[in-house]
Formats: sequence, C-alpha cells, structure tokens
Amino acid sequence: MTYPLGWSVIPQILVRRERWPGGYKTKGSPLVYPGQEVQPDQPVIRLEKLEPIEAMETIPRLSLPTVMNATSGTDPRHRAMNGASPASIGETIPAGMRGRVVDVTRRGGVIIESRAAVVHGAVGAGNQVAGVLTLWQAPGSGQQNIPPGAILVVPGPLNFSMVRQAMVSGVTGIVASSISSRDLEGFLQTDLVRLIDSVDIELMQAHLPPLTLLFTEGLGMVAMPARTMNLLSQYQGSIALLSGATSVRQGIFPELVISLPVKEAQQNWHPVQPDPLLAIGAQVRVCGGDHEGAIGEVNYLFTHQQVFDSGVRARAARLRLEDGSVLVVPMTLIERIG
Amino acid sequence: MSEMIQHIPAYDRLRSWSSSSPVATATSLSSLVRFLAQHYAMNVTAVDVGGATTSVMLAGEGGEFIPMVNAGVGVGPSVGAILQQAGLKRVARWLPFEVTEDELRQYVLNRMLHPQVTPTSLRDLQIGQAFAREAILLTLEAAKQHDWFDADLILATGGILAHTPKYGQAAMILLDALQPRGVTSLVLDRTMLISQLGAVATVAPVAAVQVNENDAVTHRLGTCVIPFGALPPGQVAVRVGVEYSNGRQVTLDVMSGTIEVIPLRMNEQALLSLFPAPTVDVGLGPGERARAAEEIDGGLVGLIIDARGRPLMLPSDEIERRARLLQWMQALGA
Repeated sequence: MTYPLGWSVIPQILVRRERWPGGYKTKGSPLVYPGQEVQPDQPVIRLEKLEPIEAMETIPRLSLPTVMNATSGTDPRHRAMNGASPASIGETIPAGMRGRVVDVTRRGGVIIESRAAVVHGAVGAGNQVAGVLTLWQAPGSGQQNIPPGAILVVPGPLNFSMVRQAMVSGVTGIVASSISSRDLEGFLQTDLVRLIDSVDIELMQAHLPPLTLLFTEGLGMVAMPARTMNLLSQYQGSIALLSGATSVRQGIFPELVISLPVKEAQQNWHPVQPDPLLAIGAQVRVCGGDHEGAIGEVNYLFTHQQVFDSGVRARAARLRLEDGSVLVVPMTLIERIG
Repeated sequence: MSEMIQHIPAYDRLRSWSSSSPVATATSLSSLVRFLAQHYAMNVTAVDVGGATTSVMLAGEGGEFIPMVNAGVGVGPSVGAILQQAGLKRVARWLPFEVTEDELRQYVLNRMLHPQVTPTSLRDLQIGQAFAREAILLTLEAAKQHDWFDADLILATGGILAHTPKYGQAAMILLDALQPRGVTSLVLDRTMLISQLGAVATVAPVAAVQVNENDAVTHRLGTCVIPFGALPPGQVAVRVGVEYSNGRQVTLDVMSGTIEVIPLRMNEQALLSLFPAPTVDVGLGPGERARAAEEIDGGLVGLIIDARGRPLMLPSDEIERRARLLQWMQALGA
C-alpha cells in the first residue's frame, strides 16, 4: 500500500486539508477568509443544513442520551471540539488545525495550510472530527479522566466492547493499532467490504455510529509500533484533526493531522520529503503474511527472485527486524515508513 | 469506452506521449483474439483476470466475437466485488482445506487494502486462485444469453494466472472455471504481453505478430481432452491411446470423475485416439471413436484428460470434496 504522502508516519510536513465535518447533504458557511491565520479551536464553519441521520436500530437507545449529555461537559474547550455528532443547524465547527486559510470550497468547507505531523491509518471509518489527543491509560494505573470530545489514543488492538465504551463516554474519535474485522463490523453495523469498496464514501458513512476510528496497522491484533506511539505521546493534549474515511476505489485512507506547536513550527521546522523507494537502509513495515506488522530495516536486496512457501517467485529483500531477527520477504510485502 | 478514457486524470499528458490514441486493455485484447482466430482458423477463448477487471473473449474463425468485460471484478482491489456477488460458499468450494467465513473476509479486506501483496503461504495462494475461478465464472454468467461455442484454443493472461508457481495450477483454474468440452489447447501468457499487442498492432502490425508468436504465447500448457455427456459413475469414461513420434504407445483408461495427465512435453507430438464409453462424447457424438488426423502438441503440463464431467459438479460432502480437489490437483501437478 502506498500512503497518500508516501509514509505512514511523517513527523513534519506542510499539508493542506479541507476542514469539513462530513455528513450527507450538509452545507456550511465559512467564518474565515483566505489568507487568515486560524487556531485549532477557532470556529471556521457554521453549519447551515443537515439531512437528518436515521436512528440506528441496533444501537441501544440508552447510549444516545449519554452521548448527548457528554456534549455538555464542563470544559468549554472540549465542548467546542465535539463537532457534528449529531450536529445541528447553526453549530460552528472548529478548525482543528493551526495555519493559514488558503481557500473556501463550494460546499462551505475551509482549506487550511498547516505545518503538521501526520499519521496515516490502514483502515478506519467516520467523518472528520477535531479533538484533544488523549492517551489511554491501562486499567490499574489510576483513574483516567477522558474528557468528552477527546480523540483517544490506544497503543494496542481494540475490541467491540472497548469501542462501545468509548462512544458511550463521549469520545469523538479513537486512534488505535488494530481491530478484528468482526468486531469492527459489529460496531459499525455495516459490511466492511462494501464500505471500503464504495465510490460515495460520504453516503456510506451517513449511517455509521458517531465515532471516528483510525487503525494504524489495520485489521487483526497487531500492536502499534513504538515510533507511532512516541509521536502521538509527544503531542498529547494537542488538538488534532481526525478522519476515518476509507475508500480503496477513491484512494482515501484515514488520517490524523496534528498541527505543530508554534515554537516547533517556527524554530525547529525540518519538513520531511517522504521517499517510498525501497532501498538499503530504508525502514519498512511488513504488511502481510505471518509477520504482518513487523518493523525492520532493509539490509539486502536480492538480485535474483526468491522462492517462498507458496511456490511464488518474487523479488525479495532481507530485513533486520526490531527484535534483531532476520527475515526474507517479497518486496511487495513491505512498505517504507521512514 | 473511448469517452471514459478521456476523463481519466492526466489523460492529456499520456496522449501527448504517443502519436496514436491510448487504447483500453480490453479493446487491445479483443483485437488480438480476433486476429488469432482468423489467422489460425480456429475458435479462440481469451481469459484475462486482473486486479480490478476480468475479461473473457470468444472469437470464432468465421468472425463471430463475444466479448465480456467485467469491470470492477478482479482479484486485487476489486476482490470484494467477487465476495459480494458470488458469496463465501462459492469461493470456499474450490479450497481443499477447511476455511472459516472470518478467514475469507479477512483475506478479502487485506487484499483490498494491500492489493500488491504476493502470497507467501500456499493457503493464501489457493484462496486467491479460488477467487480467480469465481471472477471468471461471474464474467461467463453474464454471457449466458449468447450462443457459446467450444474453443480450440484457450489463452490465459493476467497476473494471477501468468504468475502461478506451477503450470498445473493455471490449467486447473481454467478447466474449473471455463469448463471447456471436447478437445482444446491451453496456452499461458507468462509475459502478460497479449493485452498490449492489439494496441501495438495499430502502429506496428508485423512486430505485434512476431512478438505474439515468439514471446507472448510460448507457454503452452498442453492439449486437453474433456469428455462430456452422461459419464458412467465409477466406470471408464474414455480410453486414451497415444502414439509418440518414436513409435512408443501408451494406453490409459480414464475413470469418470478423475483427471489424468499423460506425459507429452513441449515440442513433443503424438497421435491421439479416443475410445469413449457409449454415453460419452468427445466431440463427434456419444460413443463415437476419434482418431486425430494430425499429431497433437505437448506442453508444460502434458496431455490432460479431464473426465470430471460437464457441468462440473463438486461433491456435496465436505470431506469428499476436499479429497477430490486434492486428487485432481495432484494429478495436474498443482
């Protein structure tokens, strides 16, 4: 898989993203103008029209009032971050990014240019939301106060009950390592194959639960790599923009954009030019097979095709994994991450 | 199709690189298939199973042409469409091992998200080949309203067929999905050139023919004999007699429900005689004996006798079905 920006984790890059909360037949009016500098918690869009979302019969009614109550938390910053979930006419949408407005779209979205860190996911679901990055603490490490409207970061795999619990608690989005396809489909109450194969992702997402999900490693039970977790930990407490939309037909993949703090963006700005080329020394991730999720460095590229257990002959690379072991894999099985 | 191509991003830049207009792969393949049918005076079926599209084209020596292009059905990013249209049971029936619904769905989702991944386990390879069979079957189902005629030559291309580790696997996919009858030849486009040659022919027809004959269709899998009709269960369906060029003779009784391969290598030829059971047809009518007027060609697999019956019916019992699949795969060296 080639990520839109080349790598799955990019510590510093200049990006332009449309701030648009999603929602089928939603229209908005911009509150800012091109050239204006905006802050992450600054309202940039006012919603004008929203097609009512059908109540999902399979979600217990008990959860809906809890989610609604969570929007009236005491912290005004968290209240402001909790966007259209469900949104109502007249509600304002915060920027979610720090940067400069470069354009306004026909539907009322605002394109913002920002110096940011970006984390791409392999699969996800849900509309674009803004929230405060909050690292999940394991049970037993003290009571964790997860503010409503937060984007929760979980370094390991999720399961169905964890996702449901998060939604009930008022979290607006989750960034986790992975989830089983069965649990994800159980939560979304939709055919995942149909969802990611759709050509109209906004229509397909219109009936999903109001929780945006991003899975850095995809489907299965793979833990989050340390480099991804380190970057997310570095920006704990920052406001981030999360989109879970996934469409293989449209080449859309989930993304987390974290605008850099002012000081870092101005004084310590070293933008990365992601190079997807697989070469000696490239840091890569194994994206399939028995060692899916393993991180390693390419230390040899075979001249001749190698034969694998399936009998398939393919161009291959030898990797030195993070645990020191050596692995020979087809080149098509690795993607560069650094 | 030509209007759709023009809306592809960067089409104008692509167009500027060549003096002739870009041609859709299906259009290019159709040109070549029709050429082969007329040039060699035979009925030709071409199969192209790609990542996003599956095409089956049938060209007759008399100019008949039936093209079927199933866009959005393939074994790469579009493998989800196969699952949605065919269903899990149809895919699982081709697997010689037990597989859960979760495993197949996981395979599909991972394949959609990582279409470039090469299968490293035999299990993943066989699952992918099962989807290839269903991709071809779904494409053929769309052609049921046409008058289908038996092909003398079956030409296969597309990554999953061209890159099978064993030639027997490609042969088995084609026999399972296309279910040809009578006598036919299987050829594999290992170089994946034939889809391009139709477009090349628009500017360099001689070069296209030369590449076709010297590079593209050089991997001949072998001649296939597929008896059909009422095959007597548990009895001999057809007796096959082979007389090699050096005078050596081989006779083999092929039982109903089995596949047999008689050694006949590339560049080797032999005279073929067929003695079907009274209710079995090899192309001349039930029970009618057949002796080839000309020698038949060998191939990378050999002379394949597929006496499983037409239409192909897999055993309903799971254990028996898996055992039969393994037997057939072993017979073909798959």
